[in-house]
Amino acid sequence: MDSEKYVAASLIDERAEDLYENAPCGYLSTLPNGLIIKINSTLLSWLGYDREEVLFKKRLQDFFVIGGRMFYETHHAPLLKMQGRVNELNYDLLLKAGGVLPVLLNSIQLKDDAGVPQLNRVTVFNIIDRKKYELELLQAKKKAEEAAKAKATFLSTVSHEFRTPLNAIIGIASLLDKTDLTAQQAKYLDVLKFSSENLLNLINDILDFSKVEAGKIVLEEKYFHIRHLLNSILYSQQYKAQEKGITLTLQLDDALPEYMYGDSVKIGQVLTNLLSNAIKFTENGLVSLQLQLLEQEEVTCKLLFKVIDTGIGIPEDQQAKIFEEFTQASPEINPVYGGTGLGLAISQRLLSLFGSRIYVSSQSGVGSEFFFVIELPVGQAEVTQEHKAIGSEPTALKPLKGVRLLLAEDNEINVFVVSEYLRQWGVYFDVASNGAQAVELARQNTYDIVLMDLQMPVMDGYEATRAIRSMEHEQYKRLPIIAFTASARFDYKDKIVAAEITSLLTKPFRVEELYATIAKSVSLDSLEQDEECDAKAPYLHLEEREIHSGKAPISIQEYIKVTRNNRDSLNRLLLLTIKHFEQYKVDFAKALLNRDAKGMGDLAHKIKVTLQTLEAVKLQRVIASGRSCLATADKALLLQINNELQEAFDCVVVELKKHLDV
Amino acid sequence: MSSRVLFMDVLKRFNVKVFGEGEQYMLFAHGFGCDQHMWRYMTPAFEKQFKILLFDYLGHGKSDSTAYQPERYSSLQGYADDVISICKALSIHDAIFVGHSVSAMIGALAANKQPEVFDKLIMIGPSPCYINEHEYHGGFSREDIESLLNSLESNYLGWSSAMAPVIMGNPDRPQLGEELENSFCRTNPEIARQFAQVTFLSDNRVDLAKLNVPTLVIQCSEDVIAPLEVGQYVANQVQNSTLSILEATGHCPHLSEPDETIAAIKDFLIVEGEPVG
Repeated sequence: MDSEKYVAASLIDERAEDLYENAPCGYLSTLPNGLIIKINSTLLSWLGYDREEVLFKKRLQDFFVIGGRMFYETHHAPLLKMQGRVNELNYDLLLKAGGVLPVLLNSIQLKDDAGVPQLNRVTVFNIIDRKKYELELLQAKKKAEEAAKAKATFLSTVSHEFRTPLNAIIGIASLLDKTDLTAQQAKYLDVLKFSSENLLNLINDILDFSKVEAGKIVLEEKYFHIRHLLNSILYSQQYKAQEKGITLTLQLDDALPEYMYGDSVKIGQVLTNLLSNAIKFTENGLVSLQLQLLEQEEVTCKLLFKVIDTGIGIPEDQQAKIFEEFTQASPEINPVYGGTGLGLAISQRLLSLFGSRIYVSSQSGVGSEFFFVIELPVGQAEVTQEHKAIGSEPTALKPLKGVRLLLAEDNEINVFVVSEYLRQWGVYFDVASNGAQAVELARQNTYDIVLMDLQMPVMDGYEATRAIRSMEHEQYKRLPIIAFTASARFDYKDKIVAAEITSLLTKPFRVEELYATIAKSVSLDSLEQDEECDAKAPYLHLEEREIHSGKAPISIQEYIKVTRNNRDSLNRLLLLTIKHFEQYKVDFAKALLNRDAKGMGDLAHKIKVTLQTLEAVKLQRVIASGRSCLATADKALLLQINNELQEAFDCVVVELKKHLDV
Repeated sequence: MSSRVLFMDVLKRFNVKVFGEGEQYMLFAHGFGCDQHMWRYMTPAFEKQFKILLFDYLGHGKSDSTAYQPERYSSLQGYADDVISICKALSIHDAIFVGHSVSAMIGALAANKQPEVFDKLIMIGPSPCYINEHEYHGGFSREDIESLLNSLESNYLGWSSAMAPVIMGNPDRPQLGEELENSFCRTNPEIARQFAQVTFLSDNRVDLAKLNVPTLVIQCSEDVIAPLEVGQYVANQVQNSTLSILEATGHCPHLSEPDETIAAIKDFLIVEGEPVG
């Protein structure tokens, strides 16, 4: 204690005494452990203590509320030791009379010649008024941030809701297109297809924009074949150009290196946007995509991309505006050409990731030229396989006949759409309506590929994939698992990598994408043309599937869901189903006993969605076994199967009636 | 992802620094409120005999805050898994793990999950549970933790210089950010808030009994955050443990009394058969 007093005494400077004591801020000095050895009158009067109650009796920390003490130990003290000073820390000081005084503390640590801390000197600012303003500002900031967050969440939720039905619309429209149509129906269908694809583009634009806004987009670099990339982009726009009678040309610099390293997807996105704009705003003449090699260094090269058109052009005073979000060059554009006014804003932001930007030079009525320069490392051929697939027609890909596939998806409509295609392609498949079922099926059977929806009841796609990957055999590690999701959330990428999902299809996907993804993932040699299997298609392993589901004959969960808990609608739906099933019972018996394979097939197809919706697995199984032995079974067996069939129908009808509210 | 990419990725994500002349790894894990800078007085004493590894948890120091996922870090296990992934990336096994404060528990969780990575644990100011509960005295009530969160908020989000870059951003003058106060323990306010909650509301008492590696518990003679009885509790629960009570006060003896702390660690390592010079 003596030595402490000695140090304290040496600090006192008589001449500055008055200035020190009555300064507009508080002063105190402590030993490194916080014990107060000197304090001025200003601070004492704020605290309400006499000097002798404090000196050598209290530590600075003793005046802090508990949270402040913890902050002092975990932040303040370590910082002071490391940097020798720490400024403007916020504390509430406990007053003798009760209550607290909000203050800011500045501390410096004085060390001796050997660097050993001797004293801490603290300045205390009274911030009682400032604190009030600060609180208000803080609350305003919090509110604003919450509002922005809510907006982003809303956007991603809404777009998810949009995408799911849109997936069905686009899928069904393509299916419809393959049926016999009258000229008028074909025309209507064209409009339907055009509009739904257009809607999809708009939604994608808005989503991209919100992702860029949220800073969630990063470059995903890999080696790519630059000529292939540009060719495939041009190819994708060819149809639209032809429709308008515009010539679309591609000019590539001969000196271009073959492979580059960079994010080819984003470059493609920007070029596609520029090209489709050019085509949109050009009525006749030509649209040209040019790529020029500006400079080639040892490992990098500078590329100039140009999109030139002979379209309506942009008046000079509008040229800067077109890059702003939600802005188009003039108000007349939207009614004529449509669009969100987001395309260029997104492209501009994407390019900023490359450290580049788009420039425009244009003359009203003559045409426009959009160009940008990016510098990319020169690459070597690494993954050529992927590029071969780009731009090639699905028909050019290998056939999928015989592929064994597991489709894990809970949405009936999506199951319906995807199954239609799978059937067309001759793919054998099983359907699981949740992750747990998918895992079970994968355990029992051998598949070449799994299509896995990420959002499913009981067990989601991530967990199901992890469960499949953790199964014993090596095959489960290599099994391609393609996830699909309609989610527009930004954070699923990491989860996908973590769950060891092979790749991702975002809903709504185009038929070609689905085909290409399956074709790419499945190795040719695993495809066997097993006709026996064919007879049982589409369900590969229905019987095994059953044994493990010791559950009620039906579930009306889906019915409740689609009728949105409306009792009346549910009743109507149940009655309708009962009526249909009574008829089916008769029709199936007729077809079965007459060995009418086509009739059985048609009936089975018609009833399938309903059976899946009701999870009437037993009935499904009986129908499937009836179909599979239609040709070979003897009369006695047919009769036995028919009995089973009738029983199964009756059982389902009884169950349905139980749910009726009479 | 190739293992090389994974390796680089992990090193960057946690701002991993490796130096020293020894073969055996000695990992130093910082506690709540700071970053790897807090080990600056300790490492010179060990770098001749060991390969020192320093890192920052996500949201601290120069780690990659963008990799932070609130769900993953809703319990200390998420942090322990990070420690394990660092060890995996560098093929570390049989290392000495020095954890300050909450990192002592993170080290224990990592050792329980992946016993081969650590040969010895050194806990500085550990507490398995900060909240008082029945017979157990952790030192705090739930209201106290609320009070800490308020204090954090006013310091991270208030007008303190610690938070200046958060409000003002200074995107045009990044050099200003560098010069700002408290650059030693830069933490992301949102992450620090969750870390504080997870740290002070966790109860890892059952994990101590499972611990099998030789463990040194370093306890200060006076510490608000981890009181003496908590240090004794930890030493009682961990079967193969040594309790060393320092004269130092406060919660960071490795900063306030580095020599005393180094001596305690060296004594332990010598007794445990390590060749410490």
